[in-house]
Amino acid sequence: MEVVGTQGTERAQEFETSSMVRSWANTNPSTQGIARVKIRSVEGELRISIEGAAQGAACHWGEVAIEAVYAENAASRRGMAFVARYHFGFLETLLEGNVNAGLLVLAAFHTFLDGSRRSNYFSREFFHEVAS
Amino acid sequence: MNHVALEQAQEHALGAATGLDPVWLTGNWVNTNASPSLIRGIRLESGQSQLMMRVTGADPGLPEDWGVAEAQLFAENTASGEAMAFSAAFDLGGTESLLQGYVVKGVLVIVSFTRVKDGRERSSSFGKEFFYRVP
Repeated sequence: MEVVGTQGTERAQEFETSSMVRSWANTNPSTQGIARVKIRSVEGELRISIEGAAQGAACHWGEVAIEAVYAENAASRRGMAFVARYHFGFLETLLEGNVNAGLLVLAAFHTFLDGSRRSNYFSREFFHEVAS
Repeated sequence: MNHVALEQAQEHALGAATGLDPVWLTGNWVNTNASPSLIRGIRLESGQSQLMMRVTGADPGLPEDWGVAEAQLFAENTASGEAMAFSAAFDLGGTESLLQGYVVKGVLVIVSFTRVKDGRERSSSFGKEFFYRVP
């Protein structure tokens, strides 16, 4: 799988991130948005890969480095949220995710750059853990 | 039409160039928690073609007045003309806070990603707070 991003995860090593480093499937099997998410740790850097909902073959977004990891509060070292970005050329997507009680909540802010008659839009979807 | 998910296949009937209507977002919002952890209040105001956001902070380690930042607007789907969510970033000196907001049944939900930039003794942290609209 191609690694799209090259920027390392900022300060990821300072956090305990095991609750996020998993494979996740949308709780809604009929989603029109993001179907599956995978977060993995590679030499201290967190990376995310996405599978978009598609007709027929899955739409793989590729893998990008997670930009930053966040703890549950300012005194904690338990990483439970993150920010990542995809640049598709025609579209930029900002992803903001957090894990709580075994559920990944993923907010996606989509900004179109192609001049199409599509509104920039926001989605918020929920994911449960699945075997890799 | 390029897309990376099925939900992106639909176009806006009137064209995206008209911009999104921020009516569901504009106004003054107060935290439902009388002892908030990060944000006490928010003002969202329409500019000429953008939404401006002013934050009154509650964290003693951060400024009380966060100043004003431009919020980027997002609709519920690609065909909608109404903004129901936004994203805005505030530079607070040694920290930076990325805020995402969305309205559900009259409640403004703010999710915050506050990143430490200057090595101070606090972790970058995530938070979620709830706000109601006041006149």
